[in-house]
Amino acid sequence: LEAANKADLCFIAVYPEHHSTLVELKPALAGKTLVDVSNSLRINQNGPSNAELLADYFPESSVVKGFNTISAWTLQMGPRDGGRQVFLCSNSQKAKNTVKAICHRMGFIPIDMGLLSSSLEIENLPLYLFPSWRLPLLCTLFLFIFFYLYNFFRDVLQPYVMEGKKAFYKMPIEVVNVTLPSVALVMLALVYLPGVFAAILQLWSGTKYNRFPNWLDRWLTSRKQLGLCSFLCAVLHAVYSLCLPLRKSARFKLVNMAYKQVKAGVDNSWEDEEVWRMELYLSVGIMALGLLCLLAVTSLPSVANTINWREFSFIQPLNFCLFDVLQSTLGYCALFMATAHTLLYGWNRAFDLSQYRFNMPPTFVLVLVLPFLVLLSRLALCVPCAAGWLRKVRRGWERSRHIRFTLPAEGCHNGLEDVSDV
Amino acid sequence: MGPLSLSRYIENIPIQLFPGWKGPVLAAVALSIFFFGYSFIRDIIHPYVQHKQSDFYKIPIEIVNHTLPTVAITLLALVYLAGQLAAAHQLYYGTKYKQFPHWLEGWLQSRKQLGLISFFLAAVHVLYSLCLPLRRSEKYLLLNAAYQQIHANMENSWNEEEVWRVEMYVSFGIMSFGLMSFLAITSIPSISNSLNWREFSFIQ
Repeated sequence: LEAANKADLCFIAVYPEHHSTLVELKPALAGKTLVDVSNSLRINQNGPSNAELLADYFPESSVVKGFNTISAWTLQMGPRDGGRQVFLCSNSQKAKNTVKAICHRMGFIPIDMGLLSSSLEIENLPLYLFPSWRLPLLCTLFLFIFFYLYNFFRDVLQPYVMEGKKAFYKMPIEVVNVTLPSVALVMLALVYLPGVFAAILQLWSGTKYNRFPNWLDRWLTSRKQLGLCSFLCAVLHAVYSLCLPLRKSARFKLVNMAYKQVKAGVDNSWEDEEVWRMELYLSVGIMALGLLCLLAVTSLPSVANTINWREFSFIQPLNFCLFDVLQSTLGYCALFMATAHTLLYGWNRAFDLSQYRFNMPPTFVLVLVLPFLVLLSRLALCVPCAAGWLRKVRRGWERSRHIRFTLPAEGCHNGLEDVSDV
Repeated sequence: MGPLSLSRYIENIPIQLFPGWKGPVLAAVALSIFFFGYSFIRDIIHPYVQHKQSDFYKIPIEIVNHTLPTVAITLLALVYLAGQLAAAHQLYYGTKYKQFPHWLEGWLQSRKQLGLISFFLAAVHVLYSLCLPLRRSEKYLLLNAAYQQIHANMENSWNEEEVWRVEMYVSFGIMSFGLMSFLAITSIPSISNSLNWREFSFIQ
């Protein structure tokens, strides 16, 4: 009671369930600022936040919501990791300014979130656990398991069943090294596929003002996370491939081949086609990885503030950002390079019947379906008449509602230059 | 920044040189010297003294490639040992409000720097390991092994146990490096700012 009488500002550091026990201090706290630092145990979707409930208990005081996203460690040590932000909101500007001044003195950066109605959002902030990453990670896991089993059947099980060859040593590295690039390429294609769907949808309905279906909307918002998962798989594939010559199995195989070559009396085992195939696919693969690295770097928050992989031209066609155009071009180049890398790796194996073990096509054939679909549709949309239509639709033209302006030309029948569609 | 009393802090800013890194870097250097000396004595001095075998060519790459990962894994263990000691301290005194001893406080504060040095050394270890087959010494050893095998008329020198051992440890190594780079990425200030406390402590 003494503390409540003397102070102008009180930090209410009690659990939200026990806020009601402070009601007897109401007269002492009238006209003062109360800072609510409480956190809930689970995400509150609707219904009043703790700060709003506190404001109901103390109608005479101004309640400020803040400091609930800062850990005890940070409060004790001061902001270390590049400037910590504190989210504040309140109905009273004077109370908010007092708390902002305290923030600055402690070395934090206050972020004004508005009126007390934003307190629900602030209270939910520390409870989220990567909500936007759930779907992409699940997708990666599912694709990884599928491709790993497919490759295991083709490369390890089938030779064992048909010819009694024991190739189980391939499981930790070689099978994983065929799974990872498949997952990476399929996910990279999934990043650009929704863009193609959205463009086709807009052309089909003739307007850009129709909302996308729910699944397409969710897909479009998770493109950045899908791309980053794909990048992770691509980098791991590069590391695994670089580790292939290190292994004992590679060394044993090499020495065995040398022995066979000496016994067969062959003095030159150079195969030109094999040499060219490997040099080409390695080179294209490294370039694809370089482009993907560039793309990943541009998605760092400090490199590109709020710009993500969303194609800006959907939402605001008139002022599309040069940066987004660059990112989109880079992305398609990376997809093209990765597809070329896979094609060159496959070479002519798709046409070799002995590769179709148990009638299962080689993995790279399965993987190439989606990227081809994306690249060919993109090419189709670049064709002048389709591109022109799409540009018109995105500038606001609607098939059901457009107006034709014609200049009053006396007796002139070349109407085309005098007509504009709006 | 606040009132004028903070001016001393502001005046000290341009004179500082990595204040939080002194302890961790010293620890890393001390560990490196110890492990380098240990590997040197075991892998080079001992064969030289016992069998007159001159393996000094191993110093630049193989001995360094044994030092780097040992220091990296020791530093990584030290990062998490600090947390365990703090938990033991809290259990012993039965309260979380007693201050930790001075050395434990310093150790807890430098966990991020220790972890980042460990990641750096692990990355350099990866680079060294990937360069092992490029060397001339590797080529000569391989040719000599081929000659021996042909001379001994052995058609297949496959050793299943050796093969499995190498496959397993390389596979685990790559996976652990992937996870460590994940940890290192979340230490970048702009990324750790976009994570809330629950997400950050989940990853770390």
